[in-house]
Amino acid sequence: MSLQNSMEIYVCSSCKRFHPKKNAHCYYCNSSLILKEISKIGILYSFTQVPRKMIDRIEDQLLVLVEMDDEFKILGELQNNFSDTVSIGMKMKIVSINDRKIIFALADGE
Amino acid sequence: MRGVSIIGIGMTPFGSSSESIISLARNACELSLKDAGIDQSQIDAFYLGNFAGESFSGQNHLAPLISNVIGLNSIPCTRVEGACASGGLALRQGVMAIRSGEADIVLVCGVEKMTIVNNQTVNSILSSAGDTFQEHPLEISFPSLFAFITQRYMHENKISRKELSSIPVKNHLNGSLNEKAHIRKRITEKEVLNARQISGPIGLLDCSPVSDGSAAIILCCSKIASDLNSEPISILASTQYSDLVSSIEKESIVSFEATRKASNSAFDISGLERSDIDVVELHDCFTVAEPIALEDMGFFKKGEGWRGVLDGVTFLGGSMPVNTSGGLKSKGHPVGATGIAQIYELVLQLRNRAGQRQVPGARYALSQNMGGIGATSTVHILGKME
Repeated sequence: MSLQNSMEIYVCSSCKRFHPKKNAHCYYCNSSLILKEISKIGILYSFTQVPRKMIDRIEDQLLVLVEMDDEFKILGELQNNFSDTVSIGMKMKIVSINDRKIIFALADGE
Repeated sequence: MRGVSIIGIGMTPFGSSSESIISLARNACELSLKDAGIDQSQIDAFYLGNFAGESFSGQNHLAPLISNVIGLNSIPCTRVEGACASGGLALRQGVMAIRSGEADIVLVCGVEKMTIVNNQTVNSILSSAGDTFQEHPLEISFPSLFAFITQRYMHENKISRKELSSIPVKNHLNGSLNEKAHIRKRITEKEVLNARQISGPIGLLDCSPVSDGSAAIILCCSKIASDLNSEPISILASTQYSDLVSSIEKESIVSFEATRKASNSAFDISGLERSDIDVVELHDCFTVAEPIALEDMGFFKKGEGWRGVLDGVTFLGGSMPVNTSGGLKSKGHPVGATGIAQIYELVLQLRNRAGQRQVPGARYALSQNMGGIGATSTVHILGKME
């Protein structure tokens, strides 16, 4: 896995749930967290477009549920809004994590 | 194990009410006592289904408070919370109290007062029934979670919104015949498809409304039920299962495992076949929830629940009408009351008193009540006493 396509996230040493932000302990079982290298790449499992009027934003929000290459799902938001071109099965890539909010972009080739 | 029967039902109109949460619950309870022909002194225990009284109305400790107002003795009073399945769970607690021999007659009520706060606050309170750690950073609402489910359901089954749009049309048609329903207006497929987007592909007419209301039932040990009431209805099965709360941890979001298990268990216990069921009330909080529940309960093959309405099976006059009350979509969805209101409708059907909504000759009925995106599910099967 190239460094460009991988990243480190916090995972519970006991229940294995991932944590987008470092906490002292696991939110779910209070065990310690460990750093784990994962692929940034995944496949779009589902998505929804929330109209800007519903969320008081300048533009619509495109929420995505992505099945990562490491076989777990992540909820995130798609950077820029490609609502007309997005479809289930497209390759997605994590581009940033901002205070537990995970931002995806369409992966190269999509 | 002792048999359990329903001897009384009561329900307020659903909608936007000027009454308090306490007053709504009192009205439904008093109607159920009157219907049963018994008085408060005969009640041995009280169970209340309520999701978020403290958040909506600033009132906790609701079960004894409502008990005080309706004049129950110093009996055990318990509030039960399981998101939108709170009512179904309260009913199951009442059933278990009688089966165990702890009580002979139990009052079960469900209530919610939601219109007291604005829509943004409603969404925020409802979203607390999800996994707040995973879902709150993105401010994901329940419409968005069900939009994920709808999008995936359409993808896996190669259908569009058009194939789903007859479901709310059917439920509004039924609700237009129900004087207690929140929204009695009939709607068209075109209106469903062109409605304002809430969280694409879900539009406004795919969503159940925010409602106030209460429903109550009187449960009784079957041995004495016939002595107290001329038309008791048997509870043939009362089951509950739970599942993962978080959308990201589910292997599939287009099947509700708790519903599947609760339904299988209910049919095993009752000894009935799917084909024996004459009428169903199920948890159509959003359009897609109806076909998924029909599949999970084994009434349709996986991926074919959406055909139920298109083939006419689930319409009034079909072989198994679904949501004759109007369902959550038209009747309304005061969260804690919903599971009890489903039973109210089914008892009317089995008593042959559902008026224009009556399913002719109905003998067996099933309700499915669900919390969150399927983390809690109850199934009840009712039957006419022979």
